[in-house]
Amino acid sequence: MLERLVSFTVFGLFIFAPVVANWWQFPLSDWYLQYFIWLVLIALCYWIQLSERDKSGHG
Amino acid sequence: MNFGLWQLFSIGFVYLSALFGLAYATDKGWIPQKVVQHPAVYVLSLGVFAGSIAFYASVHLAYHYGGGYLLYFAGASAVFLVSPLLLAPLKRIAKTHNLGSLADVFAFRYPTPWTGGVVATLMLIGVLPLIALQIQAVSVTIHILNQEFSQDILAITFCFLITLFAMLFGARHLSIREKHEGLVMAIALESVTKLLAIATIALFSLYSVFGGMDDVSTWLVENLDLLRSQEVALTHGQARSLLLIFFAAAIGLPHIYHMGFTENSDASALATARWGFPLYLLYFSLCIPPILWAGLKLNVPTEPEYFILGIGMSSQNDFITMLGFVGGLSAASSILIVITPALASMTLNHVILPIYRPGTSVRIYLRLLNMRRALIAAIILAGYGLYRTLDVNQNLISLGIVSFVAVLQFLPGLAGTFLWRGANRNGFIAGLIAGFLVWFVSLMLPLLNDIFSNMQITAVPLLYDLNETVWHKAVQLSLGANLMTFVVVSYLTSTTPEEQKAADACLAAPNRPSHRRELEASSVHEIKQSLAMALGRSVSDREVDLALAELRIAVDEQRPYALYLLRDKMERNLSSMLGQTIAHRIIGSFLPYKDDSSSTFTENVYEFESRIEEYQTQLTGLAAEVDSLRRHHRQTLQELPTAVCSIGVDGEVLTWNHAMTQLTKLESDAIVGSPSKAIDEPWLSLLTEFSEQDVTHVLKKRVETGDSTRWLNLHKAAIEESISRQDNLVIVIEDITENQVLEDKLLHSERLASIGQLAASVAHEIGNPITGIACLAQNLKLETDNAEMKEMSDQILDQTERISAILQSLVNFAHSGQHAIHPMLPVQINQVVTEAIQLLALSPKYKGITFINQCDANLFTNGDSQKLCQVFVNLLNNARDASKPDDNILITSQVDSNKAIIEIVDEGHGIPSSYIGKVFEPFFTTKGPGQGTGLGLAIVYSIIEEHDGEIQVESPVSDNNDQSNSGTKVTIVLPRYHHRTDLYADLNARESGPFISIKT
Repeated sequence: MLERLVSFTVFGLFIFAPVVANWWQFPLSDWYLQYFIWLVLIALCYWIQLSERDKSGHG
Repeated sequence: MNFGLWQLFSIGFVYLSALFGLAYATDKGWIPQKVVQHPAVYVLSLGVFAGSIAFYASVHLAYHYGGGYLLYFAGASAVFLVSPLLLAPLKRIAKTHNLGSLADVFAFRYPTPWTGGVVATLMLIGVLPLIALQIQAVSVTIHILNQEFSQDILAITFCFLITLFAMLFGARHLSIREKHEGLVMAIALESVTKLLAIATIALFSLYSVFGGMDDVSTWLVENLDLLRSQEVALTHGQARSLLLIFFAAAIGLPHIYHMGFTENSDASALATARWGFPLYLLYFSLCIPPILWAGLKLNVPTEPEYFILGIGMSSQNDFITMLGFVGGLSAASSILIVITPALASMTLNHVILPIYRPGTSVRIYLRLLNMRRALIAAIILAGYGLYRTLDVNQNLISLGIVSFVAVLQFLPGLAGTFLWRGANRNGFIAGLIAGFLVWFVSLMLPLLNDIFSNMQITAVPLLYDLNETVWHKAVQLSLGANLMTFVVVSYLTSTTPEEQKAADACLAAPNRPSHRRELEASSVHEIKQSLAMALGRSVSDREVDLALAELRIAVDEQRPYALYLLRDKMERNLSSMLGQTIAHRIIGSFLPYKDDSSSTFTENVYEFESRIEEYQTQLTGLAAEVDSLRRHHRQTLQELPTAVCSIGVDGEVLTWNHAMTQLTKLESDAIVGSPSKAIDEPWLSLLTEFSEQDVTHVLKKRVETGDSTRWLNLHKAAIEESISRQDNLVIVIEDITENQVLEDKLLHSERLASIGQLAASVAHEIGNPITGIACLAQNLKLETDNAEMKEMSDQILDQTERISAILQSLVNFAHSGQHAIHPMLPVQINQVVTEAIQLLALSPKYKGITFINQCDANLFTNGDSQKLCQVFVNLLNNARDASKPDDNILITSQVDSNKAIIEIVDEGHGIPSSYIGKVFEPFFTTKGPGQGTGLGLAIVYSIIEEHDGEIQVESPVSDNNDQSNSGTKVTIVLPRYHHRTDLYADLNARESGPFISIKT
């Protein structure tokens, strides 16, 4: 489930690459949003690693 | 501000010396392995990706495209965020087949003699601009800091130092099996250095150039027009193109592959890098905007890509300026230090070695290493040459993008490797060439224009300058041409079986078991000899011994399956040393398979199974359920209590389950994969004869296994192989030895029972006339006064008594085993033994033998006291018969939790060992005629069994003190009865003591 979420988000990044690239063309108040999405993806991957480690530990 | 040359040189020298020192200390083992192997080191070593483009040119990207600079970091991060799609399979295949470069991967997946060469050449050409830009970045920064000295001289000095480092620490080992830990640690240090440098400069920008975050916000609002006047909005296509090339760069650049897969093969490290590397790039990218804004605020005179240096210079802050210089130096040097050994290795294995063979001398390793070192120098020299001939005004990002678009051309082939089984070598090479042609025309020619114009050659017209429109079109056209050609040619041309096998290995799709063929070499020795022709004797011996050790195969191994594994392993090991192309060629030429006509194809069930085992964690849905079912059946077969083996059409043992191992004492690890003729006797004869017979069942087959005899039922069935349509043979062996022994015992018991019945009826029939004879003899004695007649009557009476005694023994034996004749009550062992001794004392024979009863007075068993008394009478009588005058017979007892153990030890002549096993058989006696019936011990045995006890005879007695090798010890074990002390206190009180000695 988490794997799919990460994959779809990264695929979405490709689709919305122009929006990300031109973010600064718009109001600067939301500048942190793209970094936040990036951080969430990193956290998800960390979560996946932890859950897989638990799984292999119990397996 | 102008830094002194010696100042710059000293800083650079100190920094590079620190790198050398760390690498040296790591290689020497001075750094703990816990640190060297830490996943954080792996993640930081991947920071090699952040070279001069990340450190310098990303500010330029932000200056021109605003938030578009993030595409560089996002594209690289995306590769790791979705690592299960591409990186994980790439790492798996690289580790499994020892593939040390992308050229090796493509040569493995799309096997032709020239695949590796084409990839290596195009990679080398494509990556040269990236090498040139690193040299340019360092030389320009030094020139910015010291404008009095020629930047070309500085550049060549830098190149020399980097070449030295790459030779020393990047080419220490020939094989990728041996890791360059010093190099990895040095690159990790470089990643930390550049991150710390850029973070410090960013913080300086925020809190020194600006007055904090609020000040930045205010400045941004006030200078929004200034910012936007510089920015160019990227079109959708341009943005996606940039994202795509940065994505491809992070997976295809040689230095990323080298640090990610060659220097580290631990799969768990990739899981950490999946979030660790994007986090590293996130930190890096967060530093770019403050630096850009500070540069604009300070109106730094340098180009935007060198704002990092300009901020310190404009602020008159030497420390910040030096940080910018050291950070840039570390960013450029890290890429060069890794990319050059990686390219050198790729070029050597796929371009040089297919043309030039270094011979077969002992020094081949050293020669190959030296060739690699020479190539490192040549590649850096080529990069320097390109830098020298390029227009210095060509910005870093333009140069970088030229290389990145070149690397992008490998993406379709890579995707096909792991996602498309139908992709073939023709499509890959055609697509690659098509893509590179477009790349060359659209991106490389403008660079060449620079070169030609610098060389005053005007014949070549100036086509266009590199700009964002050109990049975008180059990406679209080259990738489009590549993809189209790849797909169309792959569809139109055929795929070889070798390619299909490689595709299966890459796709982790064990659709079917592969064929296994027999090698021409039939032993390890022959393999060594064959390889010696290509590699030389010493190298061949060393490599084969290494492979044997890794596979844990003995040097005398002859099993076809093991030799097949060895061949496979050798190819992988040689691949790590010489590259996939050469390894494949050497192994194919010198370790060939037998001709198809003479060799039998067999399904390689082991390889198939081991592949499925490897893929277990990757299977999902129906495949996982089917695999679970397979495991269940496999386990059932292995744990089946009946012995099962199967033999392939080529006579090789395919299955040998646990019960078969137990039966034959032959380990399955040693047997499976062997030709059936390698099985030890008597099993070889048994299996061979049975498999050749027309019958499908053989019952009660007697087999002598050396120390014992076994009876076996054999069954067989033929199983058709799915590929060859020939029959494998499955043989099931039932071990019925225990049943047979029980059957024999039952027959014996029935025979004894018949004898018992016969004895009872005989006793009954003879008893009546004997009674008559005894009566008549008694009458005769009473009615005559004749002394002679009286004596004869007495003799008749004696003889009839004797006959009666014999008959009584027969009757007792016939009745023994019939339960519940007498009630089972607590019996005091000591008392029963005493009674038995007293009975024996009545006999006038054998004077002078002493019975010593040392049985514990508190020891009880549950049983029939009369029968137990008979047991002791019989045993003590036998002991007395065997004893000499004045001997002692000792009766002792022991207690073992719930058991009462009674031992009767005499000092007599003992029992011959050959008779020990027979003494309890009925009618067996060693006494002379008329002295014994042979039923005494048989009765004893029956009574003890009736009491759930055991009896054993030992002769001679091992603990006999006089060492005379004589005496007999009879040990009786009976269930112990735990009585209540109050109830039996009176019984105990009757005893005078625990030990009784009676002399007869």
